[in-house]
Amino acid sequence: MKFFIYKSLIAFSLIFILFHATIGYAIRSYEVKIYKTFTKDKITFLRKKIKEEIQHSLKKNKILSNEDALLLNKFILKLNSEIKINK
Amino acid sequence: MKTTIKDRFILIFIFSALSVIFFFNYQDYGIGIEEHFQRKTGFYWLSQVLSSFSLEELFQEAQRRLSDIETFTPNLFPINEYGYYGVIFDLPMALIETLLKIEEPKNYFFLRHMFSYFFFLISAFYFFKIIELRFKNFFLSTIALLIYCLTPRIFGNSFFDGKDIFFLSVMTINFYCLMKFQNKRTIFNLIIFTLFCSFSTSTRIIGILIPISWLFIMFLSSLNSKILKKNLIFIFVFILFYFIFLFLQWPYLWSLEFKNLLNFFDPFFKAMNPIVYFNGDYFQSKYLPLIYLPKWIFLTTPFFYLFMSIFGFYFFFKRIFNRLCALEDNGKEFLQNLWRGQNEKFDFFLILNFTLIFVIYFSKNLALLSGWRHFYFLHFYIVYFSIFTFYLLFLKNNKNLLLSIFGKVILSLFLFEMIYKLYIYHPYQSLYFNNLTTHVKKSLFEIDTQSLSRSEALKEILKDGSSIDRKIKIGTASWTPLEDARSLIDKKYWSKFIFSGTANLEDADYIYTNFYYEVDIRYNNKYVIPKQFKLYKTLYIDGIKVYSIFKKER
Repeated sequence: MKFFIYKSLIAFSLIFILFHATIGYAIRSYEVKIYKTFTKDKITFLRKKIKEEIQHSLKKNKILSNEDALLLNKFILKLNSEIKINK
Repeated sequence: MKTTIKDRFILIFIFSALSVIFFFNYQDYGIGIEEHFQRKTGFYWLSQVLSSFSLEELFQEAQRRLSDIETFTPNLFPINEYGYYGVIFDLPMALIETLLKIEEPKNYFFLRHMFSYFFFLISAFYFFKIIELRFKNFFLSTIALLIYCLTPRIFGNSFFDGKDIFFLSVMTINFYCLMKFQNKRTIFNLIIFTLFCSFSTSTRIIGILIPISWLFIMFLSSLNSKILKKNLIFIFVFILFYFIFLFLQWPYLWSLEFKNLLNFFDPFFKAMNPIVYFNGDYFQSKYLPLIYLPKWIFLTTPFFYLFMSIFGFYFFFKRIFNRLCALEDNGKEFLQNLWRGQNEKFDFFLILNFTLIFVIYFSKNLALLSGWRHFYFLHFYIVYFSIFTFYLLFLKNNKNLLLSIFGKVILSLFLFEMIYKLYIYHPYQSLYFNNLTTHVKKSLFEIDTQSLSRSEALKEILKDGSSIDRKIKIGTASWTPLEDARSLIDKKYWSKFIFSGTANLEDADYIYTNFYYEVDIRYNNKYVIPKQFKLYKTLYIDGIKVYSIFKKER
């Protein structure tokens, strides 16, 4: 009985160590990376930066190049027509 | 082992010296970040307890003090939401403060510091006893005692930390009680051990691993054993008294509803999730890399015994492996266990306990912050295992006289170096980094996480601002409630300060920072020092930037 418990204990410990040294470690590393990338401060910073850029661009006479304006125009018209068809 | 008069004299000398050190230096230490909350906890539960007795005067006094705390420090967490902390330090301290009618804030905080420190010294004595009982060598026990007490981070914290160091102390005494019970299995010794198990559990929930490990070892010893019946009695008595003691001294259980029993552990894992600056990068506290704890231990423990400790772990596991290979199911009694004799049984208990701690660390996302102070109780294991190595290498069977002398000389040299570090870090020993850590590396970690430098900074500002004939407005550019530090300054100066906190820094006369932030300062400019401020003072210790004061240019 005691022998069995010892064996089970050792087997359990080894499985635990193996799991955490491989899969567990990898999961934790990705978890850490993801949460490190998307912190509240970073998101707030990015939001602020985008707002600032928009504000800045509004002061310019021209935001888009002729080529981009044409492309966007075509794209919006296409979207509009598709929306109207499926109304 | 019999102690000689000379041994006793050495012991008395060490403890007297350590006591004298306290009385000469206690005023130099600042106030710890948790102390106000701990004091509030003490008075909250003291009021609750006194309300059940007919001690009206005392109750009114405790109530008054509690209400003063709430007025003076309104931002502290409410106790009814954070009532799971044990009170064996805080409640008696609140009672003593009330009985002695101490009114001056710095006096009641110094009193707390004194109790924290002397309780730590008592635990050091028990640590000495553990090593003495285990290795039967006075020299080794003395060295163990010195390392236990004089490790810089532990020594520094013992002056003000009524939580982490208190838990280390309780745990050490708990282990001594276990050893005592193992050597003399009486019901009295068992009850004392049970009492300390309950203290360990309520002080820090991780302390629950001590009774779990012990019960498991008792279970193992009982299998195939002739002492099964006796062991069952011990287990029964232990469980019975454990719950009685736990209930008597842990307020968390008083307010725990039956329906919440299944969620018993939930509050302990409910934590804030501030940003933690670690290894030059910013992480969320709940999602720290696994290397966090080992790295902190590696950088802040004097390396000479850290390495010995690593060897100690190796020797322990090697011995367990050898015992495992020699196991015989139907063999003699000693061949059926992973230990031979009581000493090895105690070692096995420690290893099991230590392994369980790491199982929890690796398997749960513990929200850690403030360095590794929540794990300072590991100091016990680190010193114990290092002493084990020293014993094996230099002393076991008096192997070689020359080797033994060499070992003693080397150890003494390192001890002197450690004492020198205590001197140069004073009173910031709790910020210590070992000699393997370069100055550049030190700047990659949070430093004054316990905001110890606040009082010193306030005194500096007071000195410099004495010429200002109006109130001095002080802002804080870090995650630190600076206003709490005035408790260590004479009350007559309190009216001189206005604490503006972290908002409107540009309106302040001075700005204090200890570079400890809960946000990622690369993206959050909450703590940026306004341009009109010039650096007035920065305190550096051993290449570590502790705090800075900025002064407005006029």
